Amino acid sequence: MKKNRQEAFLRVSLLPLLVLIGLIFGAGYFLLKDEIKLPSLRKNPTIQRLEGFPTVIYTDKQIEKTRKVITNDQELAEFLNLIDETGILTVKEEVNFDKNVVIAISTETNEETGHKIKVKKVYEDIDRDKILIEFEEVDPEDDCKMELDSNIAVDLVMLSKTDSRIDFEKITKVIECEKEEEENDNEDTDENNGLNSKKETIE
Amino acid sequence: MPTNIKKNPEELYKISNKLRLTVIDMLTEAKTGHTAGSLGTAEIFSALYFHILKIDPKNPNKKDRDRFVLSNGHICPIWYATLSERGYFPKTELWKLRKINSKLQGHPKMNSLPGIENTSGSLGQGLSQAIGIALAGKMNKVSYRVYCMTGDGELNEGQIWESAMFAPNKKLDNLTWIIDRNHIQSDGNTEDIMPLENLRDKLESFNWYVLAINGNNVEEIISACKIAESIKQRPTAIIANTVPGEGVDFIENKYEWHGKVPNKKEAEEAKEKLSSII
Repeated sequence: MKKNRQEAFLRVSLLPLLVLIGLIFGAGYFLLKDEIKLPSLRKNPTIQRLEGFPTVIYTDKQIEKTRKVITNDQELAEFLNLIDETGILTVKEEVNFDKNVVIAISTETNEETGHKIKVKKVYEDIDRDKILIEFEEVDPEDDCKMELDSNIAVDLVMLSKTDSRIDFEKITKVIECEKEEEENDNEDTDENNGLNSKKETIE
Repeated sequence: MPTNIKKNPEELYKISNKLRLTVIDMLTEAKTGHTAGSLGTAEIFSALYFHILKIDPKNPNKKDRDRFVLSNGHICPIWYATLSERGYFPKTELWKLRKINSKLQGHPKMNSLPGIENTSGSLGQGLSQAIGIALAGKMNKVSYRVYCMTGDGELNEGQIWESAMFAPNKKLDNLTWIIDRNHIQSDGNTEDIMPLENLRDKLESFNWYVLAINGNNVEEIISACKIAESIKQRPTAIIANTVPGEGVDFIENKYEWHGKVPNKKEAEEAKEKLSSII
């Protein structure tokens, strides 16, 4: 009687073990083929605005608008030299290009003051394997009395290095003259450096 | 409305040398004064008054004019020459430099003539004055900018560092501090007397936005001042590396010329050298 019970126990315990081993091998096979990804292994991108950089550069040079992903020191130097030929403009923050890239956006040369550009949100589209940089360009209304002083508006943000494709999307905003001061007042609190996982409606 | 006249770099270099020639004449006439710093900062003064500053010499007290405060007042010959060239007062005043009852003394006296925005004497006070003006602009919501020049030897003064702490604390982004970094002072080279380096790191640690430029290059001066205009929430310090006595080789980089004037023969030689540059 004792012998029979032992045999039955062995038959029951081997089956889940075999299933488990099969699952491990199966998952390993697909993991190695890169057909499935473990979400917990994917790090969220981090983003940081380079605060020690002027957001308006006064220049008489005619410069095209920029949407650029800067991946090394040389490209950064080239970008800085493009917008300021005297070479005195520097990025105050230390950028480690082994771990980060710099997103540089600028307007073309504006003849008058009042134009702004700013990265507003960064979205990660995991399904399409891409990062979307959403930025806002602010122009004064046509009848605003702006000062004639040619300039470009610039924004630089540091993004953790990614293999995903990086796309840009612009939102244009026109501000009424009387609202301009209000915008300025909020400048120090209007920071949105966080990563947004869900895309919002764009007007 | 006060405005800037935006002369181009070529014109600014010509103006700079013209100012230097005037300074040599003024100092030779006065037989006393400070030569090296006056000559070394000519490009800064021409860039400021003929490109950057929004001013109106015909209405010198307009509320929204940009302000310039000269803290190292002993280099006032170049300031006086510049103000006269820009049309604030007639050139005849310049030949009365340091004379008894003259409006143009060895250190500037506020309001003695149009365009003279501050009084100086003991070094180290101008930055505090400039901060006061900048703070008033913020409080009164008037959108002028304040430019203050100090020497580098002047940074030995404790008051400078009190004000250097104060300005970023008040987020005075309407203030540009130009340091004439010529490496000399009255008694010797600055690094021998009271080492200042690393000056950039010191100022950045106080939360100034700092730019280092060649202070004899008008393009760099203009670019730095323009960048300063676009910096928000903190003041900007421009370390302007200048050559004291620029343009006159026997004066250049010699601290002995800090407070010495050329004699007649030296003045002629200096003018010859400067004229050849023009």
